[in-house]
Amino acid sequence: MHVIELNEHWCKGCRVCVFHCPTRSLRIASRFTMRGIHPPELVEAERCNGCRLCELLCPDFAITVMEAVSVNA
Amino acid sequence: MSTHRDRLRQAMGDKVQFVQGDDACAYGAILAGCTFFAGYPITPATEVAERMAEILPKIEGCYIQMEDEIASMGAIVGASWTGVKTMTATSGPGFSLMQENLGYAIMTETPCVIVNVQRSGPSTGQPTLGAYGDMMQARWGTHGDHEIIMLCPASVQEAMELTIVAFNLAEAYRTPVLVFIDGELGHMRERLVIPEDDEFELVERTCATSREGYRPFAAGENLVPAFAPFGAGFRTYVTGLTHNEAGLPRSASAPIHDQLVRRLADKILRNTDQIIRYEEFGAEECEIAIIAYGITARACRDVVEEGRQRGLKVGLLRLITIWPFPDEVVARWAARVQAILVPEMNLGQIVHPIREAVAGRCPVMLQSKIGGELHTPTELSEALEELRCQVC
Amino acid sequence: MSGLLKLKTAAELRQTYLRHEMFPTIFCDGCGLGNVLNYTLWALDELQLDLDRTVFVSGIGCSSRLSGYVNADGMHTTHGRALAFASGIKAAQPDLNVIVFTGDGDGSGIGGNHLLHTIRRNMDLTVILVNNFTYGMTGGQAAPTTPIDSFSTTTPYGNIEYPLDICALAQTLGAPYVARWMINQPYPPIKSIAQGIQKRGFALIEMLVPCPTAYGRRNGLKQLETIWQWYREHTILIDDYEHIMHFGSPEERAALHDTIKIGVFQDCERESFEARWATLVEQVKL
Repeated sequence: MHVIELNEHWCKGCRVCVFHCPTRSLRIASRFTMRGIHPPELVEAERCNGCRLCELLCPDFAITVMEAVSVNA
Repeated sequence: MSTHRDRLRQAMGDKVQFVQGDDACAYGAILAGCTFFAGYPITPATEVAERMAEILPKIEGCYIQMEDEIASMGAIVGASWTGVKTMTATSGPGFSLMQENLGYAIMTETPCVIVNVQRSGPSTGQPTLGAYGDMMQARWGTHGDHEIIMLCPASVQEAMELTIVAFNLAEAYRTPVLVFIDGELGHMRERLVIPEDDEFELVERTCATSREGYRPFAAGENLVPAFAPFGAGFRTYVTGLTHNEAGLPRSASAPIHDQLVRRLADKILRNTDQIIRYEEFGAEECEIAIIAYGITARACRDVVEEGRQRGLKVGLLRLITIWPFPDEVVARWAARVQAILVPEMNLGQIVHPIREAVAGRCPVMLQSKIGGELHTPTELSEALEELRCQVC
Repeated sequence: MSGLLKLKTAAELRQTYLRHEMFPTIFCDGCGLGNVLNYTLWALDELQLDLDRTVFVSGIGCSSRLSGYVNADGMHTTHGRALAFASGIKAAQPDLNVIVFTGDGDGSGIGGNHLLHTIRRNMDLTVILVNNFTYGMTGGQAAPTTPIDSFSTTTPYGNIEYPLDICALAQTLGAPYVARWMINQPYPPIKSIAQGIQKRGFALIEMLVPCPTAYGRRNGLKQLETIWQWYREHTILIDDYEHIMHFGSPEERAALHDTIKIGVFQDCERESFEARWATLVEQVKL
C-alpha cells in the first residue's frame, strides 16, 4: 500500500501526474487547495504499485510517493 | 624566492620603457592585480589585448579571446563574480556592443574595468585615428537610469596610473569603471616609469564575512553591499532583473525598483569627493578658461603656459574624471572667469554638461575638431584670442 | 555511476536543493520546464555534486528562470549571453562546476554565435538547452527551432523558415557530449545530464519540452494530454531510427520523415579549454 504526500503550495493542478499514472490510481479531486486549484488525489491506493512516475514527472516537486506504514503492527 | 609582485614586474619587463598608451593600460591592470582579461581585436585597442595575452599566463592569470565584444563583456562580469579583478578593452564599435552587459554589470554591482581607445564614428568611421566621440555613449549608452565612472588620461604614464585608479574605484564601489583614451594616445609611444608598490594604493572589494543572515544586495558601507564570490558557499543569486536585498527578482515592485536604482546611483553620487579628479593651471587671475580632457588637454596646457608668459589671463581646467561630472568644479571656475573655451575632438559632447554647470554665468564656446587630427596650439591660441575679443 | 538509479524522494529534493523563497514556479500548466529542473537535481544528487561549488548560469526566457530555483550560486544574465558569462566563470575558476540553463531562442537564436564558439573552444560546461519550439515568455513568437509551417504570433500564416537542428550543429562542431531527450521519460535524461556533468569539456543536453500555452495553443496542441502525447509519437531513439533507415522498407523509412531523433549522439573525449590553458600556463609561467 502506498500514499502520496502533496505540497499544496507548490502543486498547480496541471494533471501531468494523473495523465501519466500507469495504474490509473490518481484522479483530480473536486476540492480546492489554497491556490484555488483542484489537486490530484490517490483514489485507488491498493492499485498503486509505487512506481513513483507521478513523483518523477511532477514539474513542481509537489508529489512524494511513500509506502504506507501500518500503525497496529 | 620571488614574490607574486616580483613576478608581475618581471612579466612587464624594464622599469622604464618607451611604450604605447595601450601597453600602459595593460600594465596598469597588471599592477592593480587584474588576473582575467577577455577581449576581441579592434583597432586601435588591440595592443591592450596583445599585452594581456602575453603577460597573463606568465603570472598564472587567464586571457580568453571571445567571439565578440558582447561576449567579452559577459566573460569579465562572470569572472569577476569568482572574486578576481577583470578587464576588457575595445574601441567605439565594440563599445557599442558592450552596452548591454555594461548595464548588467551596473545592475548586478560587478566590479570590472573597460578600456575604450576611441576612434571616430559613426559606424566604422576612421579606425586608425583618434577621436572622443563616445563620451556621451559612455554616460547614456546602456538603457535605464544609472551612473557611471569614467576616467580620461592625457599621457601614456597617466593611462597606466588611471587604470590602477579605475580598478580601485571599481572595487570600492562595485561598479564597472571606464578608462577612455583615444587612438592617438593609444598608439603614441612615450616614456613610461613603472612605479614601485609603495608608490600607489590598491583597493580590494569588501567581502562578506559570515553566511549567517547574509543579504547579497543590502547596502553596506558607502551604500555598497559586501561581496561573496561564487564557490564560497554563500549561494548568491545574481540577476539583471530588479531584485530585493536577498537578490531575488521583484520586477513588478515599484518601491523595490525605486530603492535599488536610487541606491545604485547614490553610491556614486554621494562619493563624488572620492571619485572626482581634475587638474587646474592658472586658476588664479584667470579671465578666459579652457576646459579640456584627454589628449586635447596637452596642447591646451602648452597654450595656457605660453599665454601666461605673455601676460594673458588664461587658465586650464583639465577634467580627469568625466563621469560623474564635476559640475561643482566647473561652476566654481564659471563664477570667476569671463568666458570658457571647450575644445573637443567631436561635434560637442562634454560641452553640454559644462554649459549646464556654467548655467549662463559666462559664455561657453565649443571648439570642435573631427577627422582624426588633434587641436594644434595655434588653433587653440586663435580661438582663445577670438573669445577674448568678444568678452573682454 | 551505477546502472540503476536510486533516487531521492521529491520531498528530500525540495529540502536539499531548492530555494524555497522562489516557489511556486512561474511555469504554466503542461509546461515541462519543471521536469528539466527536477531531472537535473536528481542527476546532481546521483553524482553527489557539492552545491557550494556549483554555479547555475542562464540567459533570458522561461527556461532561464530555472537557475533561480536552485539553492546554489546562480547567475541570471542577459538574453543569449549565458555562455559568455559561464565561460568567464569557468575560465577564471576551473574548479567550479558550471551548469547552464538556456532555451532554444536564448541559446541558438540570439545566443547562436556564443553557442558555436563556446563549443569550438570546448569550455567545460554542462549546457541544458530547453527547446520548446517558441519564444514562450514573450507570448509565442517564431524561434529558430519552430517547425516549418507551424503557427506563431509572428508567423500567422505559417512558418516558412527551416528549423535549426541544434544537436547536429553541436556534433559537427565537435562537442564531446551531445544528447537530446523528451521529458516524458525521467530516467534517460537524468542519466544523460549526469554524464554531461561528468564530461570534461562541452556537454549539450537538448531537452524537448512541451509549451501548450505559447506554442501548442496555435498548433492544435493546446491540451496537456495532446501535446505530451505528441512528443511520444514524434520522437524516436537514434538506434531505432538508424535500424529502420538501414533495414526498413521505403514506407517505413518515409514514416520517419517527421520524427525527431532522441538519444546520445556524441560521447567522446576532447581536451577542454581549461585543461589546455593550464598546460600552457605550466609552460610559460614565471
